[in-house]
Amino acid sequence: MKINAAQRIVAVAAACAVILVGFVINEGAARANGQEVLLPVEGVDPRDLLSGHYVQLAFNQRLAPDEQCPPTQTGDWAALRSRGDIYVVVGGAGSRAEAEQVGPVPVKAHYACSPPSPPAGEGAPGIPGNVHLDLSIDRFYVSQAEAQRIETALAAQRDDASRRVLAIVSIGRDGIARLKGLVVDNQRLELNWL
Amino acid sequence: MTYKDRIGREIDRWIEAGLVQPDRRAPMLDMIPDTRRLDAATALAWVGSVLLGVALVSFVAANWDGMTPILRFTIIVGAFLALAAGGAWTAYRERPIATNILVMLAAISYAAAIGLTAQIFDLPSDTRTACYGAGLAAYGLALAGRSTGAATVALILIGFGDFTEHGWFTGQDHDLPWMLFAAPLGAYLALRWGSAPLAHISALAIVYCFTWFAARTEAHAGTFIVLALVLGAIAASARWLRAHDRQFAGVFYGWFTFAAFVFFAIGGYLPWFGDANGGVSHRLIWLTSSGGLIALGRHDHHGMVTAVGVLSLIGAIIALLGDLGLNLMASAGIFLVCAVVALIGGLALRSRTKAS
Repeated sequence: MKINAAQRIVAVAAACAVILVGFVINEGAARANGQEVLLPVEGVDPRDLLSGHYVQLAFNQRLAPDEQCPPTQTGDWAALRSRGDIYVVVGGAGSRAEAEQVGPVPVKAHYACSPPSPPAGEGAPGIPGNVHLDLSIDRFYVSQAEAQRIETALAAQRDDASRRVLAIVSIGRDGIARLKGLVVDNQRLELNWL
Repeated sequence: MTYKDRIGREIDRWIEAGLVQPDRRAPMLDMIPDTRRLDAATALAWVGSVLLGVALVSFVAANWDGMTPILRFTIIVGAFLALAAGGAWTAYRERPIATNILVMLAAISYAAAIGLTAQIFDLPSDTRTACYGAGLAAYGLALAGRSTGAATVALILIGFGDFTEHGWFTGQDHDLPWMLFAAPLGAYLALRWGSAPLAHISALAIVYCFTWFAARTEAHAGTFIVLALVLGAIAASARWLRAHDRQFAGVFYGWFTFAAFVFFAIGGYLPWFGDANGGVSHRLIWLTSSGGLIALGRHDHHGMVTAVGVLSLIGAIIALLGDLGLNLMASAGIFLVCAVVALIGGLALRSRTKAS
């Protein structure tokens, strides 16, 4: 039986559409069923003219001058542990099983640390350090009004070192982090598909 | 005046000269199809369709922020399916050009749909996988609808995927580029379907595969010279296909010749034995083969091969002068002598042709 071009085009297009819809459903299920953690974030650049409105996020965890960097990462996994209402990086590992031994929440991510400088003598305060976590999440798409509101909160957070914006991240069994939303000034701003 | 009108006037001249019987005029002209003219109604219909499309896109863009994610997703998937359905309909009506265009647009819209889906639902973004996925879908649509446009889009998307988040030319990346399978497939389809744009882009893609291979190896003259010879052999195969009336094989002939000479030229500057490079002997072979290439290009009536020969000759002369360490005045003198020899040779050939 010879399949003509029209039938072939319809079949391939239908397969492509099904794959796309299936991907969205699969990702949605993974996001809904993953473990929810709150991570500190900083803003980078609020919007891009060609990409619509979004908040560009950087998962940066500040280290006080008396704190230490987590051990240098050796693999593709990072381990998170709760500290108060947020989760912080406590180490890295080469596999999920190894990461679970370092911390209770393993995630596929890379981190880099700028160590803090301790106070040097009287009156000279130390310089805080920074742990940057790369979760392959860098944008949160929102409407223009929301983007501007979040931008304002992120700018204020940068100025007064407060923690006004947190990212709500779902970490699935596959170790992939998926963004669920943001907490801005104690108000949850979750992604709503409908 | 249309082509048919011009031929009609020529036939009238041939009839006057007694070369053609007057009663053959009409049957000869009947063999030439009439050029399709766009009447006012059709033109207005096209303008109306385009404006309707612009209005629809503007309406969706103006309300994009206010739409729920699921509605946005439905719109982009619907747009893709509508374009594909249009392509299927034109294929059913046996309109190959419209099918080609619509399937190509469907391939582009699917690539956009993948990107927008990640944006709409804030999904973890992996640009490389997205490009590869969109490229595979474009190839699937191209094969289904025999669309050279969609195949071209597929090659471009897979090329984007290869370069995204990769360090091909740093020697630190161990993945294989997908272009290794995509480029030969594109070349095969270009020859099978007779498509010039697809032939150009797949030829460049194959050259890119050679460049990737060269970048992975030690920078040694031998490697580049061997690659140049392989490219030269492929160019010779393309020349053979061209001689056997394979449409657009000449495109591959031109590009592979160009790449072979580039690789050969670079090879001459890399270490050959120890730290020494090819030196003057390489430049002389380069110079001689460039002259041979010009002659071959003229013989084959292939403009690109001739142009590559001329450029290569210029490059070889400059390289040779650089090697000899001549100053600008000496270089000008050598160029002058070469120009005079070429002019005398040309005049001599012309006078011999006239005499014969």
